[in-house]
Parts: sequence; C-alpha cells; structure tokens
Amino acid sequence: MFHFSRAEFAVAFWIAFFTILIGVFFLVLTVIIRARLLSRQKQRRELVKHWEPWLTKNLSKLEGSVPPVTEADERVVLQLLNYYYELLSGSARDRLYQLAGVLGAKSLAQKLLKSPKADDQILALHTLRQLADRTSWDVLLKLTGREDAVVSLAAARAFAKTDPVHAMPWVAPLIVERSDWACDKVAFLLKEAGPEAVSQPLVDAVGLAKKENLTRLIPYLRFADQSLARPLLHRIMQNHSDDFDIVRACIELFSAFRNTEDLLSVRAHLHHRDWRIRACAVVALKEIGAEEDQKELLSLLRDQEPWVRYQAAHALATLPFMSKERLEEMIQKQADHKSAKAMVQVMAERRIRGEE
Amino acid sequence: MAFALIFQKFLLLYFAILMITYLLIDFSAFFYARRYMERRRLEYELPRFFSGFEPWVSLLVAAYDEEKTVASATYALLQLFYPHYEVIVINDGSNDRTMDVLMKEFELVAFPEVYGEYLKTKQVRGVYYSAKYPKLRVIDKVNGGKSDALNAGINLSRSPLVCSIDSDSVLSRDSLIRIVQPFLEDPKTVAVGGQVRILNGCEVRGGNLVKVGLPKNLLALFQVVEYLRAFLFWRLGWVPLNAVMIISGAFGLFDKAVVIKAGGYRTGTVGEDMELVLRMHRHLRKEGRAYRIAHVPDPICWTEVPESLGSLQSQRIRWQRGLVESLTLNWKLLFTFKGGVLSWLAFPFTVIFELLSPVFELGGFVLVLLAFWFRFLSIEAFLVYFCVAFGSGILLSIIGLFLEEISFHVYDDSNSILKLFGVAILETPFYRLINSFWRLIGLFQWLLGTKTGWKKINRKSHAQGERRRERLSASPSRSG
Repeated sequence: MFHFSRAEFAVAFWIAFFTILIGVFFLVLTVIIRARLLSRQKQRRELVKHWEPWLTKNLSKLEGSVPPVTEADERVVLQLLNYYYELLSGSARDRLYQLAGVLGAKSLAQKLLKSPKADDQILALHTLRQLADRTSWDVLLKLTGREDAVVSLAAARAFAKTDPVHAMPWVAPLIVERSDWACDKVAFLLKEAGPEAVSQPLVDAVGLAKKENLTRLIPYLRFADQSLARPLLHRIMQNHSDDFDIVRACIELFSAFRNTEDLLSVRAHLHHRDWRIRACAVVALKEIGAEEDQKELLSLLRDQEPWVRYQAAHALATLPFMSKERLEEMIQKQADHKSAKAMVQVMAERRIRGEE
Repeated sequence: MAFALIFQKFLLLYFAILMITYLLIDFSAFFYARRYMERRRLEYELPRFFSGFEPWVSLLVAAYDEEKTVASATYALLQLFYPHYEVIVINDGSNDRTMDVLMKEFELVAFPEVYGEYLKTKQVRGVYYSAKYPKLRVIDKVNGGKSDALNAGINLSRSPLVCSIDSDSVLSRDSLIRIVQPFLEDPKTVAVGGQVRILNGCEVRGGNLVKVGLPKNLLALFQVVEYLRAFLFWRLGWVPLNAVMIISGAFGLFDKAVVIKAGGYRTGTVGEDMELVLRMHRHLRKEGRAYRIAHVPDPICWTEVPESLGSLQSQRIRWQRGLVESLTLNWKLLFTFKGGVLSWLAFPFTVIFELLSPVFELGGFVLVLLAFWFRFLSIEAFLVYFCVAFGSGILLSIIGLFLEEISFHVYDDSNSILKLFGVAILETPFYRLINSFWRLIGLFQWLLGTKTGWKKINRKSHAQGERRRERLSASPSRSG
C-alpha cells in the first residue's frame, strides 16, 4: 500500500475545516442580509402606509400641516410623487406639483442626485424631469455626458424637459452619438420635448450622422416637423441607396408622414431587388397611394415573395375606391394562383375582423 | 497504485479549476445582474407606457398532446402586457384532443393563409384564426417534433422577433416588455433569454404568479438549488463576455431574420435550443457581423420541474444528449481565430466541465472508492479527495444561494433560506451523483446512437387555468 505522511491527513482536515467555516460564514451572512432586507421592507411598507393616504387626501386641497420628510422618508416620498405624476394629468397634476413644492421635492431630488448609487440618481433625475427644474440645468447637462447609459439618458430626459427649445441643440447630437441609449426612452424624450423644439436640432444632427448610425436614427425623425424631416430623408435615400436598411427606414417614415409628395420616391422602390424594400413600399402605398397605383399593385400580386404579395393584396383592399365586388372580380381575373390566394387571404381577414 | 495517486491528483486539480471558474462566472453574473436591476428598479415600480418603438413579437408555442393545459396556457399568453404581439400555437400532430380543445375554446375558423416556407417543415394541414381573439392563430401540422413545429411557427409569423415558449411556462404579465429591453437598448442584439425559475410550490391565480414558494418535494428542492448554481448565475455570467451558449427553449426571444438565415431550429436533435444559439454564433461570425446575445436577469418565466425520479431521469438524459449533440454539431466554434471568449473559454469549458463532468465526477468517485477499497489509496488520500469533491460542490451551491439572496431574493419567506441551505448541503452527495449517473447514460446513448426524443413529463394540470379562462372570457375586448 502506498503510505502517505501525516501531512496528507492534515490537508484533508484543513480542507474540511475551511469548507465548513466558509459554508457557515455564508449562511450567517445570508441570514443577516435577509434580516436586514425584511426590516427594510417592513419600514418601507410603513412609510408607504403613512404617505400614500396623505398624498391622496391632499391632492384636491392641502389640509392641515405638512408632515416633516425625514431621511428615511425621502425615497418613498419621491417614488410616490413619481408614481402619481405618471398617472395624473391636467389640473390634478398641477396640484401634485404644488404638493411636491410643499414637500420640498426639488431639494430632496438634488440631494439624492449626489448619492453614489445609480438607483438614487435615477430616482432624482425622474423627479427633476417631472418638476422641469431649471435651476438644475448645469448639473443635468453634466450628467448627460456620463458613461452609464441609463443615468445619462435619464439626465437627458430631465434636461430636455426643463427647457426643450434651449436643451435640444445639446441633446440632439447626444442622441446621434449614444447608440447605447434605449430607443423607446429616446422616443419619450423627443415626444415630451415636442416638434417645435426637436425639429431643427434633430434634423441637423441626423444630417451629419455617420452612415452606420442612420438606421437607428431615421425613425426618430417622426418627431420632427415633416417639412424639415422629409427633405433630409430624400437626401439620405439618394446618398445611401446601396444600403437597404437605410432605404427601408426612410420608406417606413414616408408611411408614417402620409404625404403624397413622397409618392414618386415610394413608387420608385416598388420593384427594388430587395423584397423587404418592396414590401415597405407597398405598405407606404396603402397610406398615400392613388388610383393609378392599382396597376402596380396588381403586378406585385405576382411577386415571388409571399409577404410582398400579401401586402399588395392588403394595399389593394384598402384603397378608398375599392369595393368588395371589385375585389372579388379581381380574384376571378387572376391567372396566377398565388396572386388569387393572396387576395383570398386578405378578403377572409377583412371578413373575420368585420371590416367588410 | 501510482496510477491511483496520479488520478486522484488529477481529480483534485479538476475540482479546483471547476470551483475557481464557477466562482468567477458567478460573481460576473452577480455584478451584471445587480447593475441591471439597480438601473431599472424605478421603471418597474412606475406605471408603464409604450413609446410605439416596441417591435412586434410572435409568441410560438409548440403543443403535442397537451389537451389538459393548452387552453389555459394560451389564455395566459393572451393577457400579456405588451402593445404589439401575436400568439401562434402549433399543434404538432397531437394524438389526443389538443386541436379539438383549441377549436372549441377559441372559436377557430379555417383560414386560407398564404404560408411562406422560409424553413422546410413537415406538412401543414391548416391554419386557423380565432374569431374571438384576433391575436391568436393556430397551425395544425403533421408531427415533426418540437424543432419542426417552431420552424412552422416562424414561417407563419409576421413579426421581426419570434419568441419560443414552452406550453407549460408561466410568464409574468410584463415578461415581454422586459425581455424586449435588450433589443431596444442595443441594435446589435439578436437573441435574448429570459431567466427560468421553478414553479413548483408557487401559487398561480388567473394566469399570474401571485406567491413564490418552495416546493415540498425533495427532488424539486434539489432542482431549485441546482438551477441557482448551475443555470441562473452560470448563464448570466457569460453575458458581459458575449459568450452565451444557450437560451432556454422555455422562454427565448430571437431576431427572426437571423434565425432563418442560420437555418432555423435543427430537427433530429433534442437540444434544439442550445444548438440554434451556437449555430447563430457561427453564422454571425462568418458574416463578420457585430452582434450580441443576452439574458435578462429578471425572474419572468416560471416552469414546472419533474418531481418523480422517472421523469427527472428522462429529462436529464435528454439534456445531456442535447448538450453533446449541440457541441459536436458546432465543434467548429472551438478554438477559432478571432473566436473570442466563446471560442477559447466558454466552449472548451463547457466541453470539459459540463459535457465530460459525469465521466470525471462519477467515474472519479467510483474509481477512487475502489482504489481505497482495494487499498491502492490511503485513507488520507481518500479523505482529501472526498473533502475537495464534495466540499467544492457544497460550497458552490451555498454561494449560489448567497448570490440569489443579495440580488433577487425571490424566496422571501424567512424559513426558506434555511431550508435551501440544508438542501444545498445534501444536494452534492446525493442528488448530484444520481444526476451524473443519468448524464453518463445520456452520453453513452449518444455514443451508441440510441434513438431518443421528447417524452411526456408528468406535470400537474393547471387547475388555476380554469380561472384564467373565466377571467378572459368575461371581458373579451381586453384580449383583442
């Protein structure tokens, strides 16, 4: 038998000892963390129980004195205020602003902004956005340059809300630069700022953007004034006609704008070699097409791509002058069975949805 | 005797490397999850509005002999909080009344759908629309397996994103908006996995998870600990390194165009979820395209796990076969020039510490035990092996629980954490060895080319599904 020294036994002992020790350490640590978490959750429930009824009661009219907002209350008060901001509108929201003023929400938020924790900063930025606090302008502008995508975007939203017209020339280039900003949140930012503030800065910034960013940026132009956005779209399409994603994004926006002046551009892509662009062009025709497009749509019923055929059938069915009888007549006349099938499908859909 | 000693030393080294790598990945996962959740905490608490930029999603549910659960599962999916989505249920040639149940419950009518065959599938017998729920379409097809069914769903889908869901998954109502987030935040995203948690022991009402609880069944408890250690943090940890190798078939969201270009789900394999992700990696790297595959850390998908030994055995054999099939079919990802972390770290690690682990763990245990029994190995050496092998396993499970506590703390009942710690200690010597044995069977079955496929796992029927149906039927306009 192979004899081992006592050292091997010692190794076994110490491995077992430290395994047990580390295991017990993590167990104890977990129990402590759990106890602290339960305590924090209980405290939060009590704070919400205290503040929520007060806010609800005083939304219509401030009655009695304002309870002091302690350090423990700060986060709960701001969370509740933000919650109600999202739910309310009109005069109810105005009263909420007044309540927020009485509670000192602005200074609470400015204080929380200095916290090293991201969730505190985001809460503070949301609050400042709702308050549209102009005095925080410099701080917010600085935070828009932060590397953290969520924090910088929250700062940009707050910044744009304070004074959209003056903020957008700063924010628009950031929107172009920051591919890590969530597009839905950027859309909210642009919507909140309004076309008057957004249009020129956004169109200027997108006009200077690099090609690789355009597919991401073009959809944002729907928040800009058409009279500024559309010429840019046409220019982009002309300069980047070889990039199918860019062309598709432009045509999708023509659909959204519903301007018949874009009809020529849309028609020019009905027979594009990429089927996705053909489909987009057909969808755009649904919005801005004219009677003379019927012939093109009929030819696209014979497209090799099922989705294009389907969209062409849909576009035909939704043309304003089209009736059920005319559609059925078209089906009869279709020599190609694939074309007929596309029409039959669209007719069946309309029937099921009660659109006939 | 010298061989026994060398083998024992090799096993010690194996467990040491396993432990260190698991710890590194676990902590990578923890920091990623913590950062992710911290930045979204307020968003989850506030009322949710939609920007209009949320992409359309097609939810694909493959159903085979699911007459008891298909209706309730479908009702639940029709209640998700998301602006643009459709539900496509694919009846994969069921032998029971699955199709009849669907026809009756949802008032299906046969529909002359133009079906584009972007991916080859078995014959589609018909497509049906629901007159009552416009979001719902049903495909009735010849049996071809789960992959084939999902491919048929992809062919029918009209959305740029497709989401595969198991018919017994319970999703939280905001699960779609959460899993879509990476697509909104990074245009390079091509696939996102949702975190799957264990439904056993939880309370479900009206299609929603109302209370999280621990299962009473010991096997299910072992799986809770295992999921935390081996699935949750392990998968999340690779996200920051863009080396995610699997997105669970229970809940995964994909860029449809990329899936179609990669060839769709592969039929004839039981690990279709992992195999697809690995093939997507290969395809996108070949294209030279910058891309990202992510996981969202939020607990948003809940699924039942087997509670009987028979069902669990069948599942684990299948998983191991799926693993070896996926890795061998995509072996070209291994050690490629410019392959990055996936090629040089994640893939080889998975081969050694996942694929071959039953050989080392179980084989090692048996050989060391025999060597000790026949006195080729001293008691001291045996004890060293025992302490390292079992100690490292127990420690990893305990650390998994600790990370769960400081990040998600899903099990908020006070006693549950102590219960889970107890289970974590028992898991390694009992459950892991049995599991390794089943996985070894799976490995041998693959080597021998034994045929296998999806077998029915005994699940409790969703009694709560009855209430879901009542709730939805009461206000049909909400479903439209």
